[in-house]
This record gives sequence, C-alpha cells and structure tokens, in this order.
Amino acid sequence: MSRRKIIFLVLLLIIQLCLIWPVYPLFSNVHPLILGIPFSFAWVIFVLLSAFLLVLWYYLTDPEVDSSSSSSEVE
Amino acid sequence: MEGWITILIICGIYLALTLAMGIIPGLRISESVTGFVAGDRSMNLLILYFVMGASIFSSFAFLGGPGWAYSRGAAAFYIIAYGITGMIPLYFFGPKVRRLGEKFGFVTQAEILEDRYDSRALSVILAVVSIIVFIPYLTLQMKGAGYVLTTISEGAIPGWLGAGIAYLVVLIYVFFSGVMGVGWTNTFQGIFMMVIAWFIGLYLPYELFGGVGEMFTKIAESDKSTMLTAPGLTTGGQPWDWWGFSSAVIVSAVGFSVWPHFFMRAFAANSDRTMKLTIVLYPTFQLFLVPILIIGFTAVLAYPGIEPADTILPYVLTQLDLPIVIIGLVCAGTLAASMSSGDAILHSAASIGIRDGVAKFLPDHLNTDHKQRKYIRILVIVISLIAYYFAVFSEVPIVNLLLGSYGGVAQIFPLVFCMFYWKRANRAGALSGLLAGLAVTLLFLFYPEWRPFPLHEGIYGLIANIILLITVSLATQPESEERIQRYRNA
Repeated sequence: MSRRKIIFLVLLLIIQLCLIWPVYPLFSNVHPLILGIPFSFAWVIFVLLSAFLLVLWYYLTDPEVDSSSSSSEVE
Repeated sequence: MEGWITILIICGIYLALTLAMGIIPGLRISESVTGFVAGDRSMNLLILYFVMGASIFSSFAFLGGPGWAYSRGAAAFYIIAYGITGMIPLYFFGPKVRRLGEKFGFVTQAEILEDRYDSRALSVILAVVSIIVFIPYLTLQMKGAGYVLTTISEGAIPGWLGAGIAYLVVLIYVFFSGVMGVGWTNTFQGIFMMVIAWFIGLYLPYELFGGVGEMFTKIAESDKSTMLTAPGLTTGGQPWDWWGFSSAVIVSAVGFSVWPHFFMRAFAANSDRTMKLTIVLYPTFQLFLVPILIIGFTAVLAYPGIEPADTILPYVLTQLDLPIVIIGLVCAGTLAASMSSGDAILHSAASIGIRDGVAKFLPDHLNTDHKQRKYIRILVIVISLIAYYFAVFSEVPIVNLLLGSYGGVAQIFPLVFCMFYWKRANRAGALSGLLAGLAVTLLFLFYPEWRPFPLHEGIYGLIANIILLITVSLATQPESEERIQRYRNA
C-alpha cells in the first residue's frame, strides 16, 4: 500500500471517530456558539468540510485520474 | 381561498417542467436494457452528481429532517454525520464497478456480486431484499407528496389525488426514459430544492428571531438548551446515549454506499474521473442539510408542541404571513424532494426485479434485450400501483419496515468489500455471511430487549456477517483463479 493511501486511511479513521464516541463527546456542548451556531452543530459542519478537503486532496494527487479517463468525456 | 390556487398553479408548472425534462432525454437513449437501466453508460459529472445527491435527499429530508431537529435536537446531526464518510468507499469501488460493467455488461449490483461469487441464489436474495426495502421507501415518498398537496390546498385536494398526480408524472418519465429521465429530472429537482432549502433555512430564523445566531442564542438560554447538546434526544424525549448515536452513525455509514439504487449508478458513469469527482463533490450536496435542520430548530421556541413533528415545515408555512409565491415554491420543492427519490427507487426496483429476480427463473422468456426492457417497464407500472395502494389505502405501519432497512442494507457492504479486496471470499462465505447478517439484524430489530448492549441492530448483524463470511470462506474451496484475477485487476 502506498504512503499516500495509508495517510488517507488514517485521516479517514480520525474523521470517522470525530463523529462518534469517543471524540464527538468532547465537542458536544452548546457553547461556545460559533458564528451563531451551537458548538455541537458547528463541529459536525467542520468535520464535513475536513472530509471534503481530505477526499479532494486524495483526488488531486491520484495518479490514475489522468490515464484512466475514457473517450466519452463530455461535460 | 384564492391563495391555494396560486400555489397549485406553481406546483403544476413545476410538474409540467419535470415531465418535459424527463421525457426529452429518453428520445436519445438506445432501445436496450443498458440504455434503460444504465443510460448507455453516458452520464457526465453534472448528471451523476445530481442523481446521487437528489436520490438520497427524499421527502425525509424536507419533512423528516426538520422534524428530527424540532423534536430531537442534536440527534438530527446524525443525518449529516453518517453521510460524511458513508460515500467515500464508492471512490474506490465505483471506478472498478464501472469498468467491470463496461467489460461484462453488468447494470445492477446483484449482477456483479453474482458473477464474483458465482451464485445465482445471491442475486435472487439481493433482488428480494431490494424490493422489500424499496416498496415501503417509495410508499413514504408518495405519502409525503400527497400530504403536502393536501395541506396547502386546505384539504381541497385529497391525498390520493395529490400522490396520484405527482407519481403519474414520475411513472411516465421513468417508463419512457429510464435512468436518463431520472438523471435529467434530478438535476432540475436538485438545483430547485437546494435553492429553496437555503432560502427558507435562512429566511425563517431571520423573520422570527432576527437571524440564525439570535435563534440559537434564544434556544441556548431557554430550558430547551439541553437538546442542542449532542447526541440530543430519543423519540421519547429522553437524552440519547452515545452507544445508540455512534452505532447508528456507523451502521448507516457502512450501508450508505451499497444502497442498490445508489451503487448501480456507478454503471451509468461515463468515466472513472466522473465517478471519482462525484464522490469528491458529494459533501457540497450534504451542506444542504444544514439549512434543512435550521428550519426545524427555528420552530422549537416559536411553535412548541406540534404533533407529529414531521409536519413542522408545512405547519410553519401556514402560520407565517409569507408571500403566496414563496409558499408555492416551497411546496413544489417538497414535491421535488419526494419525486427525485421516488423516481430513482422505482426505476431501480423494476430493473433489479427483472434482471436479478424474474430473469433467473424464466431465462427462456426473458432471453432478449427487447423483452427484458419491456418487462422492466411493466414492472415499473406494477410497483407504482403496489406502492400507491400502500400509500393511499393500506393502514399497515410501513415506517417501521423502512427504519429497519438501514441495518439490512449495511449487510451488503462486507460482500462488496471482499469482492475486490479479499480473494479467499467465496460463494459459501458470501451466502452464509449475508443470510446470517440479515437474520441477526431482523431478530434484534423485532426483539430489541434481547440486545446485550444498547447498540444498533445492524452492528450485531455485521458482526455475525463478517465472522461467517471469513470462517466459511476459509473452510471451503476458493473461487477459480481466473474469476478472482478479474476482480483483483479491475
């Protein structure tokens, strides 16, 4: 397994743990309000954005993306 | 009395546009099963993104999402949480599935699993499970559509008529265009409901409290502040425990990527790049749940005590002095949410029922592409009628059946994972794992008091599933080397 993939899987595991016990309970309070949003809610949105950035990074560094496109590419 | 006619005109325009968007792409699709079920493997990023997004955000999102936030507070964050990681496995499975589909002509999830595990029985079991899950799912979408039209017309349009009109439109474009009809309408419906959700989610707290921050501050200062502390409340209003929340998130995340109507869209992607980018961009669709939940939170202090909680969005709309056009747009948006899931489910249920179910028993009758396509279309009509019957005439509490479906669908995941990543997995292991997983999940669903720990029933199913998949596979002969290599190198 490549180092890139290992880093990805470790970060993915951390992200998953952030959404459940035991990590999410540490961030489960109402206060402080972040931009007017309860901390427990803002945390989930923050993790959502982190997951987005993680997969985006993995995609941008994906060695297969350029070579594997099929001919019928239309956008 | 004048108001609801305007609303109905807006909904009518929406339905007419949807019908047109659904029929036009059907004119360009080939007269084949691949055309009907997998859109000739020609979906680009825009369409695939909206098909995947809009299929999941159903009338549950528009009615149930605010309902959860309203009655259970932070428990509603579960709805966002499981989708964050749930989609990511498809980044890895999707391109492999797409390439194998192109090479060997697969168009459904059961077909590819049947081939890898060399088991016709597996295909039939998956077809049965899919249909058992899909019919109540479709029924709920129809009920949602009927409910919205009844509420806004102040009872002038009964539920049977509302659901009937909305789903007649769905039936026509699914029958005519197959998955490309689903694709184009979902793009239209997806954009439409995203705009509506953001608008309402920001407008309501502004109108009632002066802003989103002010609204949450008020709740935090009130005696309801505990509901904002994760993991929120149970349906009974008691604090939910972390065991329940965490296990529900895991089971739903595991099952997310293998929902049959979702998984089989990988066959419709036009390239690996399209498939991967759809997964990369998926969280942007999920952000749309944020305003949806805010709608529910807005009502916590403003309109306490509304039962059932799922009716909170239409209730709030009738209470506020909103411009009639906006109410009309929100109603059309709710119809869009219902129909964009309903169409995908209807299409998949019929395709799977014929390809993976009936065709296995009657191979002589369904031996041509033309015949299969014809029977899939007939099944589209039959399934619509069955779901319509349950939605309108039957009193069977189907919601319970749907609640159990997440645990059941999650049992498909180990088989899909091992299809590519464990070469020793074989037919006996796959069959015993899947059957045991389903049996254990159902057992604890119906007898929750037998659970050793307060975990989601799907967790016990997954444990039984994985243990049997591994031990039975190791105890029996592996699949042929040629078959395994095909999947290792996919």
